[in-house]
Amino acid sequence: MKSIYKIIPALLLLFFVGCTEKIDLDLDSIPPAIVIEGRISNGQIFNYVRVTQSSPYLSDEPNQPVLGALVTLTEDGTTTETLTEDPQFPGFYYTPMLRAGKVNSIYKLSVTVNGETYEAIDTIRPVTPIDSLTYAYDDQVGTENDGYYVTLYAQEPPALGNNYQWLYFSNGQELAGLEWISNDDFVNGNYINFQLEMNDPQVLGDTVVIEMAAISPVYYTFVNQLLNQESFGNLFDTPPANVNGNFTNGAFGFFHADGVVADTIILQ
Amino acid sequence: MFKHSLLLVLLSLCTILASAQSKHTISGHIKDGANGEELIGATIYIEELKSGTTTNVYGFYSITIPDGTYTIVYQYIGFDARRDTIILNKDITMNIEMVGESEKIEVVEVTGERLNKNVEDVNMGVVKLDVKVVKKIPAVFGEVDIIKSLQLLPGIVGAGEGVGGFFVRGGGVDQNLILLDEAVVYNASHLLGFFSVFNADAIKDMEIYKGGIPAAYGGRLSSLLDIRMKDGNTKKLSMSGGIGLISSRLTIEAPIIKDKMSFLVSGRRTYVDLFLKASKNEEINQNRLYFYDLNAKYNWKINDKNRIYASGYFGRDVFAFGQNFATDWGNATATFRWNHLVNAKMFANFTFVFSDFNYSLGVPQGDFAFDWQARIRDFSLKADFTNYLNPNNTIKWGAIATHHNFAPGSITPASSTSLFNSLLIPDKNAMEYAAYVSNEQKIGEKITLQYGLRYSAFSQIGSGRVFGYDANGEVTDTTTYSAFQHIKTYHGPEPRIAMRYGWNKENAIKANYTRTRQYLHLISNATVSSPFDIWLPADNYIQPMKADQVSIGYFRNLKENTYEISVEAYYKYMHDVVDYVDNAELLLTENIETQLLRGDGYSYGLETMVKKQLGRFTGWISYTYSRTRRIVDGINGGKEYPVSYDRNHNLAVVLNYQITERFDISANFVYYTGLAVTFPVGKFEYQGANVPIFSDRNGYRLPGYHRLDLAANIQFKHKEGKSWRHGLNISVYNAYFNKNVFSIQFQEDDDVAGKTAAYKTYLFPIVPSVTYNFSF
Repeated sequence: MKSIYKIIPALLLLFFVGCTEKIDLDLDSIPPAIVIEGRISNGQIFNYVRVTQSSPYLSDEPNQPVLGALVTLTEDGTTTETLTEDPQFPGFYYTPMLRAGKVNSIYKLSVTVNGETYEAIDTIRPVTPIDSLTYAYDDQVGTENDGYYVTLYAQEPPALGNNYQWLYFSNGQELAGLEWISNDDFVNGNYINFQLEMNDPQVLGDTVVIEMAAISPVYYTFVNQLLNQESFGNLFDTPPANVNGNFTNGAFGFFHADGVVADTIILQ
Repeated sequence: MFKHSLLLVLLSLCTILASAQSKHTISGHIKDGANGEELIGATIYIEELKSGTTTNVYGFYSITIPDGTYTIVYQYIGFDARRDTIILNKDITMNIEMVGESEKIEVVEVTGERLNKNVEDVNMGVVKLDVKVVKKIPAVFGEVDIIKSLQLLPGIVGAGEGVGGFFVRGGGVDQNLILLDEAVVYNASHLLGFFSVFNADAIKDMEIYKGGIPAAYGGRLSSLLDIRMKDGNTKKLSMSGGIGLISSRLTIEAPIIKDKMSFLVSGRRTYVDLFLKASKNEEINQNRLYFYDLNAKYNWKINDKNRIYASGYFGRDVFAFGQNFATDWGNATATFRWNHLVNAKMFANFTFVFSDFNYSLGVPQGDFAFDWQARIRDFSLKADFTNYLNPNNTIKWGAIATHHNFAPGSITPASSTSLFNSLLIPDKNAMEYAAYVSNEQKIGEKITLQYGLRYSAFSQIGSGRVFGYDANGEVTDTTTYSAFQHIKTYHGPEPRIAMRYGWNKENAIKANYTRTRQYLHLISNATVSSPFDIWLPADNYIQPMKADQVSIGYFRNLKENTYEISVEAYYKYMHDVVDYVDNAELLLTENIETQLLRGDGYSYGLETMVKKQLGRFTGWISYTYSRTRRIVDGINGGKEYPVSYDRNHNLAVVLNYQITERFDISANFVYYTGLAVTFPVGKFEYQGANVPIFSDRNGYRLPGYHRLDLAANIQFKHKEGKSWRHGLNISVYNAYFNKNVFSIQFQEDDDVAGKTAAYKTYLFPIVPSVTYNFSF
C-alpha cells in the first residue's frame, strides 16, 4: 500500500514539469553508533553476525567494521557458544562450525564492544512448505522485461499472524534483497501462488533456488519500516523516523531467527 | 447552562428597554439589478440616526427604529449608492436593486458615509475576498484558485505549491471548516493540491475567519471558510466560460420565472489526458488523469416571506496508469435551504445538508488485483434565527445536528485470480450537536460587543466495534455495538467574545476571545495531506481537540477609505492535538488508536496588512511573523518541535493596475520561510540497505520560497448595447524562474558513483499561460 504514496507524486511530476538538481546541504552528524546484523535459521546457509559502526549520512565510506567484539549465541537459555571473527571479512562473526538452529528454540545474541553489551532475542518459527515451483515465459507487455519467471505455490496456514520473507538465488547468487516480505493480513489461509517479479528475468538453463522464511512479526515490522524510511524526503512519504531494531542499549540493526524451507527449479 | 440563562435575562432586558417608544421595521432584500443576485454585506445607513445595518448572507436586512422621516442610503462596493427618503409609521418592505457603476474605472463617488467595514465591523481576523479580485491574481496554468489566493492573506499559509490544504494561525489542515453553501467540503484539492475544487465562475462570495468565528459555526478549531455559490441569474439567460491551457469551463444561468425562480449550472474539466491519448506509446495512452467539477443551484422565491434554495457540488479526480494502478476521489455535497421571514424583524433559515467524500484505489487486474474503498458521509439539519431587535442589538440563535458515518477502508479482490481476501474495517458512526445564541450589541457609536455561547456535544454511536488494549497495545477484548447504541460522549461550551472600540471613523481597536472544539481528526500518514488521509471521530481513545485563541488588533482607514491598514496579534493554544507514533501504520488498520499520540500545540503571530482598494491602482501587502510548536509525549523525546508548516516569515504583495477600461496588469510576489523538515544525521547499513538515522523532529529547514507572477487581462472591444464580452488572460507564473524547493531527496551522486548527495526537486519553471474568457 505504501507504494501509492510514491507512485502518485512521481507521475504528477512526470505530467507537470518537475525537475531535480543537486544542491549543497550542510548536515550535522551524530557520533558513530554500534550496528548489528545477525541471523540464525534452521537451514544450512546464511548464519552470521556482522558488527559495524554508523557513519555520517553523506559519507561515501562504507560503514566501518567493528573488530574484536565478543559475540555469543545462547540457545534456549542453556547452551552458549562464542562466535569467532572472520579473518577475511572484517566485522563478520560466525559459529565455530556451520550449525542449523532448531524450530521453536529461542536464541539470544549478545555482542560486547568496549565494555558495552548489546543483546537481542528471537525464536525460530515453523514455516509452511513450498508446494512447488514452476516457470513460464512472460512477455510483460509494454516493458522490455520479457523472459522466464518463476511462480511459487504454497498453502498459507489457517491461523492469522504469519510473516514471510523470500530469498531468491539465481545460479547461486542472491538477488531479491530485503524487499520480498509479506504478512498474511490479506491472504490468510489461502492457497497462494504468485510470480516472482524480478528486475531481470531468467533464461533457459538457469537454476533458481527460493528460500521461504517464517519471520517474526517484529522483524517484519522492522524490514517494512526500513524499506519505508530508506527513501524519504518526498512530502507524500511517511514522516521520517528512526528504524529501531531489537537490540538493547541503543544499537541499531536486528537479530532474527528464521524457520526456512527451500526449493530448487532448473529452467530447461 | 447557567451562562445560557444569564444571557437570556440580559437579552430580555434589552427588549424591555427598547419597547418604550413606538417603533417600526424596514426590511427587505438587496440585489444586483443586473442579474438578480442577492448582495451579501451591503450596507443600509440611516443618515438621521447615524446608524445602520448590513445584509446577511441571503441579502436580507432588517432595522427597527422609532417612527419618523428618514433618509436611507444603500451601498455596496462596485455599485452606485442609492438614497431613499421614507416616512416610517408602519413596517415597510424595501427590496432594492442596486445598479452597477457601469464600466467606470474612476471608482466610487460615494456621497454621505463611506464603506468602512474594516473599522466599523466588530469582527477581526476576517477577510472577505472578492471573486473579481481573485480572478485577476496570476495563477499557475491560468487556473483561478481560491485556496491559493487565500494564502496571500496574512496568517494563512500553504504547505507549498503542488500540495493541498492551508494552515490558519498555526492550525492543521484539518482544522479548517470549509463550507460550500453550508455543506462541509472534506477535501478541497484537485490533483493532490495543484488546484482547488472551487470553480470561481460559480462562486458569489467567500469569507474566511481566522479567529472570532461566529457562534453559529463550529466543529473546527482554526478557521471558517464560508463560500457561497451564485444563485443564478433571475433576469435573463447568461452564459460565461473560458478555455484554458489545461481546462475549460462553462456556466449557464437563467430565470425559469423572471425575478422568482432561476438556476445555475457550472462545469469544469481538465484535458491533460487527451494529450496522453494522442501518444503512440501504449504505456502512456492508456493512462487517465483528469478532474472535473459540477456546480448546480436552483432557487425559488415563493413570496416575500419564503424562499428556497437547492444547491449541489460534485467533483472527482481520476487517475489510472494502464492496468497497474487506478485511483479516484471526490466530494459530493447537496444543500437544501428554506429562508423564512417569521416577521419583519425575524429571519429564519432551515438547512438540510448532505456531504460525502470518498476515494477508491486499486490494481484493476492480475494476481495483485484489489479495490480499496473509503468514505466519510454526513447528514445535517440546521436551523438559524436572526432577530433584528433594534439598531443596537442583533440576536442570533440556532441549532444543528449532524450524523457522521466513517468507512475507513475495505478491500475486495478485483479479479478472479487475485491473491487477496476481502477485508472490511467496520464503520464508525457519530452524532454531533450544537446550539448557540449570540448578540451583537452597539453601545453608543464607539463600542460594539459581540458575545455568544455555543454548546456542542458529540457522541460516538453504533453500529461499531470498540477494542480494549493492554499496555503493549495488544487487543484484549472487543465490544460490539448495535445501530445508534451510545458508545462515548463528549460535550462542552464554546464561548465567543468580540469587542470593538472605534474612537472615530478612521480608527478602531478590536479584541476577541474564541474557544473552539473539534471532534473529528484527520489522520495523515504523510508530511502533507492527501486524499488518502483518514477522518476519525473522537472516541474512547481519541479526545476532542480544543483551542483557545485571543487576538487584538488595530485598524485604520486612510484617505477616505482608499487605504486600509491593519495589525493583528494572536495567541492560540491547542489542546489534545493528535500525532502519530514513529513509523505509524495508519492504512487499513482497525487498531488505529494504538498508533496515535496526544499532545498540545501553540501558535502566536503578528499579522500586518496594508490594502489599497480604491482607484486604478489596487492591491495589498501583507506580512506575518508567526511560530507554531507542538509538544507530544513520545515524539522528539517529549521536547517541543516546530510543525512542518511553521513558516516564520510570510510576505505577499498583490498588485493590480487598471491601465485603460479594457486593459489591466497584475503582479504578485511571495516570500515565505521554508518548511521545517527532518534530515538524516547518520546512517547504518543493513543487508545492503542504507538506513538513515534522523535529527530531532523538523530540525532543519528547506530554503525560503519566493516567486513573482505576472498577468495581463485584455477585454476585447464590445458592441454598444450588446452583452457579449470576451477577453484574454495572459499570465506568467514564476516569472524569474526561481527553482523553489518542493522536496529534498538523497540519492546516489550523479557525478561520483557510490556517494550520496542531496537533490532538490522543483515543480515549476516559468509557466506562461493564456486563457480565453467570454460571457453574455
